[in-house]
Amino acid sequence: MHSTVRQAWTQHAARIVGEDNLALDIGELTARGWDGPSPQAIAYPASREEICELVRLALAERLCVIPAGGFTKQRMGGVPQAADLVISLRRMNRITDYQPADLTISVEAGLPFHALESAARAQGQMLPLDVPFATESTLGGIIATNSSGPRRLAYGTARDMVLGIHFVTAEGKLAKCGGKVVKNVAGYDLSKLLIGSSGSLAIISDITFRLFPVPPASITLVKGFPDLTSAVQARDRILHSVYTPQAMEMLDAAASAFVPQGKLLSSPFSLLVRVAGPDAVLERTQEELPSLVGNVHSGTTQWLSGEDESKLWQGLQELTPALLRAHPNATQVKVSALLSKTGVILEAVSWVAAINQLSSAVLAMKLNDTVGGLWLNGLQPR
Amino acid sequence: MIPSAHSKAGINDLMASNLANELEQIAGPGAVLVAPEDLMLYEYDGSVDRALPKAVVFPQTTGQVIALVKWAKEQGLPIVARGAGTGLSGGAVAVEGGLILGFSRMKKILEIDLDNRLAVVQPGVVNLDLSQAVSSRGYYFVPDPSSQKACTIGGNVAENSGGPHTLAYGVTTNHVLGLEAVLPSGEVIHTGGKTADTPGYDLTGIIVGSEGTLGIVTEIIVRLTRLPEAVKTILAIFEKVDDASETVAEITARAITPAALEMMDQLTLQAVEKATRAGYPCDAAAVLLIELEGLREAVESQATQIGDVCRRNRAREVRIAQSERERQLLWAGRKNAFGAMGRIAPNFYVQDGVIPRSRIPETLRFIQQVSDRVGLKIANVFHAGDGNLHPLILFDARDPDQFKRVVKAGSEILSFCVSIGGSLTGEHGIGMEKNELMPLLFTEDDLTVMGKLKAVFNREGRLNPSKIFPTSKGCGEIRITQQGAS
Repeated sequence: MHSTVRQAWTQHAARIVGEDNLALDIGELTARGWDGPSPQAIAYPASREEICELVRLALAERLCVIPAGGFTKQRMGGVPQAADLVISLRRMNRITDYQPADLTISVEAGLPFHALESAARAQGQMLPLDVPFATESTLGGIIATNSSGPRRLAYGTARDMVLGIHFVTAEGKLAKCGGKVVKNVAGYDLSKLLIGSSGSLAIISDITFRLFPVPPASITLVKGFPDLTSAVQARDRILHSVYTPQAMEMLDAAASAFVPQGKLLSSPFSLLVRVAGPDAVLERTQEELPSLVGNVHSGTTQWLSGEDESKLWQGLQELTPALLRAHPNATQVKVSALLSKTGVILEAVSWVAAINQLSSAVLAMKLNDTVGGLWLNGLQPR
Repeated sequence: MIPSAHSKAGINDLMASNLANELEQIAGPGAVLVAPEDLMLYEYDGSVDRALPKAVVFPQTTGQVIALVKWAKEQGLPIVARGAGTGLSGGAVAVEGGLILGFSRMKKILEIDLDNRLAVVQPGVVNLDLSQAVSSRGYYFVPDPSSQKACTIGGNVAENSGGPHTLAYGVTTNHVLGLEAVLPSGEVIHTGGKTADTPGYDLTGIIVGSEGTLGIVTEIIVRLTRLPEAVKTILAIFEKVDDASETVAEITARAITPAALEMMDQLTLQAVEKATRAGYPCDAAAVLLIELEGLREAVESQATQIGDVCRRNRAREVRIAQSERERQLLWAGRKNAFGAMGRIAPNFYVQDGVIPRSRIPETLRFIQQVSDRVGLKIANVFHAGDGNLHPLILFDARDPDQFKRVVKAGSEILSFCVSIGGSLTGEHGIGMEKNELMPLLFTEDDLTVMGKLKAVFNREGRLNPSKIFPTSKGCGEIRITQQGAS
């Protein structure tokens, strides 16, 4: 009986997206660590209209729908309680409108991040979200999970870069908010609701972003510290200085181990400061920044630029995937804390890890103005 | 017998005094206005629309706001929150009467926390006062609407206000971390917080810019930003409008990001010079006012690049402000430009359309054609860097025919902005002025989703009614009223 019902709607779904674009085998999902109830099918629509039709079918059949992109964040948030139909937007992967002269780009939600990145780079532009899983994760998924990375210190997060979104409502209707211009207050700013909504409000089908010019050059200071207090103090001196770094990250020695490309120091704590601008700015930075962070342990300072610098930041951006590859059962905890509480939180992390007999690696990142967020990487029990 | 007209007035007086008594019990003596001559001061804002509220109340605490909202709910009265009344789309006009909650008594800066780069303020705090309170310690609040000496942060939140310097640093929504808001039910919600990335839906982001239709904001956590080390202000003077607008397009395309990039045309310059004597050239076709901020070296390098771009586009002169005084004067001229229009025309109607930045040259040509066609002068002063236009249509409100042509010209310009991929408003809001034009931008389904969201917060629609969304009465044009156009 149950299987007959299932046949009926999956056949209907197959008619909407085409036989080849409906998978009844959900191996792709389980391979990504899906541990909720097994959905009966994964549909790969090719247009907004197909998404609408699928959602209307789901509504009529009372199916539970899970929107998906590159399946890179299936382990984020709670375990789904029900799942019938997964709608993956992976086939909707076009750049639909790129206006380099306006620094705006519109893309379908299934476009992988790296594809947008290379299109923008060809024009000397960028979308500085620096997300992990950059080659696999889709822009729709990135927006739905509000993913971000190191340069949010200078450029903010998705909420500061999204100009407009097209989405499919739970009734299967296509709607939109915002637009394609960089300044716009017409109507409710529904983009803000959709960013980070984890697919719980609507299925995002298209997104328009503002892009930024790639700065002429950049340079990164890597400075080791013997203890947390001195590292935090150095960070605060930079934050309250006239410097406006592109990114500033603090890692403990355990986290550094997951950034092998970066030639990180072996100090208990490392502070990474990335400054961009014309040559004159970089020259001054090299002169002034070391004394600003403190010359206590002058032997533990290095400057990176060019290839080495890119590799370091790429390593930081991909720290989560690296950690998960090394420790598939690791749990990541993200804490959003006040800047002034970073030290306390970092101490708490190692303390919690110790009493629970866990290993931990701490990357205090995302220092976006008032944020001292950090990730606790509680590794599998020793 | 007392003549009937008097007796009606008598009953009205009696009702007004009962109303005043009830409201004073909540908000305290002296916090309520009900006399017609007092209410008249609150029937308009910075736009051209008018409507008379039943009463104006000035709460001092969130508790009083809650009590007032509950009282209005019992009475079934609409409520409109009001800051300084400087809004330009009728957001603070009580179009369906009812209560206006004026926030001029809730103007405390509750907390300044520079270690965490934030401040907590009441909605009545004047925008510029916050920046001045922290500037000696090297910080400021970024959004800088031209009305920043008067407008309140609560109003900025409602309208998601911009300003010249939001080009590089973002508008109000990019600088608000959290809110306390009273819903029309009397419930109080706290959204966001002192850190970014708070768990759950980004309700802060949806309330900012909701034009007072989702909740009454009673407390705001704002982000403070470090003042730049160096500032340089450049005045580029052009013989042709096209050359100035091509310069803007090239600055954007060449990826130079000034802190501000403003344009003023000849009509504006003439008005501004009469009013401010800031040293703007009245014979030029247009000027660009460009501000660069950051580390000294970055500013120097950008100034060289900008100078090159301006000269390549035939700038007659590229002048750098030589002193802080000269800089302030240039900005005073720009920020008082709307007010200066009184020097060259009895009335003006300002628009707020947005276009893709690369389309400025053709849009300005279109606006000139509209001006010629309707026979009204149109001055342009706007945020060129982000494509946010402010055409000022000049007219005489005493002439009904001119007034009709204003409405026609305004609607044509906004339709053009939308047709090339732009928007109806960049920072002034939809309000009661452009709500009938919303279908130009949004489909019925788009508006239905927004309507459903509104109903979640404001089910009975008593909070700032008849704003943002088209009403059935609408005729698909901008709505400005002649009587108010003074």
